[in-house]
Amino acid sequence: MKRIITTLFAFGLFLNVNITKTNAACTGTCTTCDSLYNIYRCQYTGIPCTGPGSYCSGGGQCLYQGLGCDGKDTCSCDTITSTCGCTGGCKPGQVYYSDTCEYSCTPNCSCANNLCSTQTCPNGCGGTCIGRVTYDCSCANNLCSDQTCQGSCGTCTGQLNCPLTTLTTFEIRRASDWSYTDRNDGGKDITDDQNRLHICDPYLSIQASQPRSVIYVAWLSNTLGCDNIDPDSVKMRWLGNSQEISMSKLTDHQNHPHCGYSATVTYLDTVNIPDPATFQITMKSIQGNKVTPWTNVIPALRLKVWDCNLSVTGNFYDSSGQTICSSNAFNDSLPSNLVENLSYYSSSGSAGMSLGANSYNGTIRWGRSYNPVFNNGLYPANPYGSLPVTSHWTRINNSSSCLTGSTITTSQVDPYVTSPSLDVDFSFTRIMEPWYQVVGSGVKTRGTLTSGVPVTASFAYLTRGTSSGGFTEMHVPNNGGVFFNDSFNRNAYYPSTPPYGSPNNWYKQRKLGLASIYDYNYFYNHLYLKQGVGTTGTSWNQRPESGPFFVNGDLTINANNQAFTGQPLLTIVKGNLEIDQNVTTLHGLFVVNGNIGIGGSNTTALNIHGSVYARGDIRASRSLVPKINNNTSPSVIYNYQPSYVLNLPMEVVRVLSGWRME
Amino acid sequence: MKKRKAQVAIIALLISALVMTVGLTLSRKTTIETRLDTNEEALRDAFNAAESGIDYYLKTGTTAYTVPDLSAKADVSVKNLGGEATLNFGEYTPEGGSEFYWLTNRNSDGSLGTSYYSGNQITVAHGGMNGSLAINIFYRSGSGFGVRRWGYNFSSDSNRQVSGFTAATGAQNVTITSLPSSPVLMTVTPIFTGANLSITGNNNFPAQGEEISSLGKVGEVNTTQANKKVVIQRRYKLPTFWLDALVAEGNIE
Repeated sequence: MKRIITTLFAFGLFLNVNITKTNAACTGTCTTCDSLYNIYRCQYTGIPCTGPGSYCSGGGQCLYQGLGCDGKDTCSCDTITSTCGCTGGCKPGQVYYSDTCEYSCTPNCSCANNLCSTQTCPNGCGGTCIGRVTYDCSCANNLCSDQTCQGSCGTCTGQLNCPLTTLTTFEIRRASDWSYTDRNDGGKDITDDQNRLHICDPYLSIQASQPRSVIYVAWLSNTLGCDNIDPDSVKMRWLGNSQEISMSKLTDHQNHPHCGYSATVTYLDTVNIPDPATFQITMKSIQGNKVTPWTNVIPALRLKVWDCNLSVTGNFYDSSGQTICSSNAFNDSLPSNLVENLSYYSSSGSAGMSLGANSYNGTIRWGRSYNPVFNNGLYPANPYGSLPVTSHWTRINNSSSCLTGSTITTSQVDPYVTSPSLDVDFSFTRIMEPWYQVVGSGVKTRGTLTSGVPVTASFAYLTRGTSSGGFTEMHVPNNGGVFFNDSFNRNAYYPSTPPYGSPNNWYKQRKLGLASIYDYNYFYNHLYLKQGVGTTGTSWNQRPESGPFFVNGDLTINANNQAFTGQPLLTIVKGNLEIDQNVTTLHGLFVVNGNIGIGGSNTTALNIHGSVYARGDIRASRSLVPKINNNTSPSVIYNYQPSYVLNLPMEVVRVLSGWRME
Repeated sequence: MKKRKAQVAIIALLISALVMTVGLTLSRKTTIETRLDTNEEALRDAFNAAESGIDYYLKTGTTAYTVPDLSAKADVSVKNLGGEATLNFGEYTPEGGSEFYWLTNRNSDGSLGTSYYSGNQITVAHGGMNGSLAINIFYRSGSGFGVRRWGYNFSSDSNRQVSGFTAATGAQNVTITSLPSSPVLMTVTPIFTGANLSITGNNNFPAQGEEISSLGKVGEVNTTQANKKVVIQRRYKLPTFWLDALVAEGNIE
């Protein structure tokens, strides 16, 4: 019997025999079957039949074979000595013998997770494989560290399940400070809500100073341990330039699944990739040489590497007298070329700007804070330098609001746009040049009329009536017309309609006829020589109480005089007239053949009550002290006094005319 | 021989006649020229006397004047200018110049009086100018004086208009109705071109000055007397630049 079985086993081993009968080698008595039943088979065919006398298709008798299990419970043997894998005695459908069992055996040892394609079941078929196949699978390139091979199973082909190395997480850290990372856990999240980061971010590269180095850290995992990662195989690349970068093993950080690898990369500021780009990583496991192909990192970080340069442009405005940050504050341009130079100062270095007439442009660095410095000024002591202003407001990107401080923070610019830029406008409260004003009459010149009426003045007109100005003692409700050959405002107040006068804004670019016939010689001959009217002198202290005062040369007025209730003083100068800076009040009428000069400075404006006529130029350059007062008040005021004109000496106003001969 | 003597006598007679004719002609011309020179000298003396009479009057207020050598004399007569409802001095006022119309009387010493123009309007005519007029009216205000100003554009050419002036395109005159009380002086200044100015009120204007006539005389009456009359106005005017507080022929800055 055993010989038969052995023969059959050998046959099945090589020929895949399907049916095998073997000695179950049970000892003892099977007692756990629920019930036994009689088994009948046809005599010649072995086909099961129902009992004696029943029909057999192949002929012969239906013969009794023995008892069989009922098919539900196992029939346990006390011990199992065979190695066929049976765990009990009989299986459902098996023929029960008193000490043997009969079962089907397949050559497919379908043990889970342990298939070798050419694997054969040793020791013949029997039972079910349990656990790993423990055969010697020492095939080349297929060793996995936890596999133990016992015995021999022939030749294995293909890979076993050697593990890949995978990326656990990828980080960007500041080169000098590991506390900054893009992770929220255990560090500071330095990426934005779109997982973006750029090289100029202060958390990354410390205000983009050179060298701009960052550390990339990749935490890898391998189920066989960190040592199963080929340390020379870990590489990363930033898709901004796709340059492969080898990462080095962090020997102190090798704890699966956090096998640390890092790379320090320095980017020159010549690298300027406008759009953020992602990263990829590749590595290889030692066992199985399994290569993890280029894989997008996790999380999907995007880095922008750029030169950190911001294009900055802006205009200069005059906001003198305007409400803070009002729309009018950025309407009027500053006088051309008043800003001679501009630099953006920061503690890390200043950036000079290129200037237009009243605009500028240049380049600054993202992430830095700047303070503007004008006209060779010094920050913070004198940021305006020689620029005659008292303060300024700053408008960023045409915002409806503006900065009252001077610090410009560039980090407010979105660094991820293609060409980061910043528009910074400055609006200044100027210190105005001194200016003059005429009250109660007009102004006429055959030359150029240079005025300086500033927008900051409380009553910003070249000529003004008295009804609005409070000069009630003059009894002059109206101003007059303004006539000139050319006009210019040295304080650059150029509204669309020239504010020459109020309440009558009468003006015309017109010389108004020929020059007057009246001069020193006329008055001297007509009054002094012919009529003996007037006084001659050479200095101001020689002037008479009233009436004509002839000066045959230059005259300097160095003292105030008093108002006249009747006949006024009529000063007639053949040369030039200078008015000393200490003089603040003058009354009378002045006729000067040459030029009139009013210079210097004084805390008080010079008020000239009367009328001034020069055959040359009239130049009033006197400034108020402090100079800022020029913003609101004129330094020289010409107050027309009709009473002086109407109270002139009879000899002056009574003239002969209409001569004819009959 | 006798025939030859007769021919000589005839020739001599003809020559004598010719010489006499030429001589008489020259003598007549000299007489006329002498007479003409005498008349011109007399007229010149009369003119000089007339002018001296005016000067004498202006200095002394005396209307009778005799030259020191008693060769000529002048009679001076004076009458007021104005005093009517229309003032027209017949003068052409150039661009930038001003005409002065006084609205109050003058005292005997020439100072401003207190009899003011009592009309309530004044019409200013420009005689057909193509430009603008600036009009000032000075008035007494308490112890002082004030001035009100008007401006009118008569031209349709924008280059001949002053910004802010009142449009009076094509009008030949403008009427000022909002006269200040106690008006003293009206000044009218043409712009862009000169003008023949006049004003008309609804009442008489005060005297504007004097018209001084001086008749210079040389020689005896009904014989060889030569007369020459000189007329001149003595008015009250101001240099135009005193209508404003700040005027320069050069630049102002």
